[in-house]
Amino acid sequence: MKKKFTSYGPAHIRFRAIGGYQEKFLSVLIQNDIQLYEISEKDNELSAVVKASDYTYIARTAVKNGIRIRISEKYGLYFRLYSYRRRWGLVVGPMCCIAVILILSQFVWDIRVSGNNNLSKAQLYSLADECGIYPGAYVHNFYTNDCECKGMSDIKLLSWISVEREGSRIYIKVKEKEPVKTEEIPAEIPCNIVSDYDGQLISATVKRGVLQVNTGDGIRKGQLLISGTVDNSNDGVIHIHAEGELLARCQQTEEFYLPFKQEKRKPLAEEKYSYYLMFGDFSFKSPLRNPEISDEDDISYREEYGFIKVLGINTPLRYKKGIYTTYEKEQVVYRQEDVIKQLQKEKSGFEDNFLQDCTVVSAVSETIVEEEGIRLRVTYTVDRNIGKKQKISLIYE
Amino acid sequence: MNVNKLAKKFEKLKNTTRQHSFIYISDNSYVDVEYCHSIIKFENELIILQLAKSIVKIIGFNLSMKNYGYRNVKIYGKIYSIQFEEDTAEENV
Repeated sequence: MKKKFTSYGPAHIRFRAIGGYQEKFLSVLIQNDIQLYEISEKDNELSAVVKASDYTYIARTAVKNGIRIRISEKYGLYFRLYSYRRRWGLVVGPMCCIAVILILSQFVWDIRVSGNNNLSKAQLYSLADECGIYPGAYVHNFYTNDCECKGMSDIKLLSWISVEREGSRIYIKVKEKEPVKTEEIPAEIPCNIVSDYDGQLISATVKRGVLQVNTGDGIRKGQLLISGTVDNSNDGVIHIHAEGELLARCQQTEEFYLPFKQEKRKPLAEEKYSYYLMFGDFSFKSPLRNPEISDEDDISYREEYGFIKVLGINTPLRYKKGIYTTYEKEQVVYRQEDVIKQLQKEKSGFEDNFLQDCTVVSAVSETIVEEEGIRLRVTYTVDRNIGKKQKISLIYE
Repeated sequence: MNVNKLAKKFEKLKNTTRQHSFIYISDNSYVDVEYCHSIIKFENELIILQLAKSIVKIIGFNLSMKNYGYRNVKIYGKIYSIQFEEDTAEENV
């Protein structure tokens, strides 16, 4: 099959060989593995096509064989573009276009939110904004994983969130939690109220139903407090939906334990720094000082920003200083007073978290010093609302 | 030395010592000559090639040629006849 020579392919030259020993010339070229295409003869002139890179060798061989060589045609992209070599605009234009596309693709231009029903788009945009994702943000300045983790921890309504980047567009896909179905018994269904804690009844306000215990009585978990079965003088026994507010004084004991010997994370005095030069949201790492960070080390990272000063005057240029602090773990033996302080902190944490909806009447603490640590036993006396509704099962229903 | 270069040199050595050539004729429009020692005559109607043991004369019209590989040539055009002649130069030696 004959090869086609176009002006967009590799560079080839068609030449004419005039006079001399043409057959010898061809033989030398063939023996030296020079590829010749479309060799033909007309009016004692040899015509052939050769690769542009081989042309110099052919010209030298032609001189040795007494042949005059003339170029009749040039093929290939190289020769086509060569004529435009002084038109810089043709080269600079596409290069600028590519550069603009490359630069612009480094920024976020659009954020799309999907899957939200109760959550507003503004909420999700503000979440993305807090994580550094906003139109115009540099794509290497944020991590989508961080945004996902922050979203899951901050927005309680979310059951799932995915933040993905596709080019210059950010897709935030969310799935909201389905509303929790309250297991409250509807008002038309008859029910009793039973105790859900052990304790002593302090006060009782009955809206519907019959109170089964007196104020000051001791009650145990599961005991019937307000009955929904009412004796009506006209209709006999009827079942109603019991309602009321019951306050009981309850006791509960909690234990906190901490050993004297504990593992502590201690920062090393030596810190490592990396410097970045900032241009807006861009940060360029300085090639001069880059600390070597090992993955095995326990390291924390924080950043400090500042303006570059020239002769004491702030310039618009900012710098970023990355500070790597290495931690080491060490065994620390605490004193008795220090351990008690830590236990008190744990105790107050427990009260803040688990006794929020109760009134703490008294908290009697007992400290037991053991061989390896200290145990803090606290007996709480609390006033709390008790009572949970229980459906009345009717056999003849 | 590069293995490819070594293989290429070996192929060249094989070709220089070989005692025969292959000719592949496709209709009357294309002839493929494997191992052509040299070109004795090249014209529009006549091509004479020196092969390993003989001389081949290709007569036709509008003949053109292309070389490929090491000493292999392809001849295109309207081919009328192919003649073989004894290599007298070799006999004289």
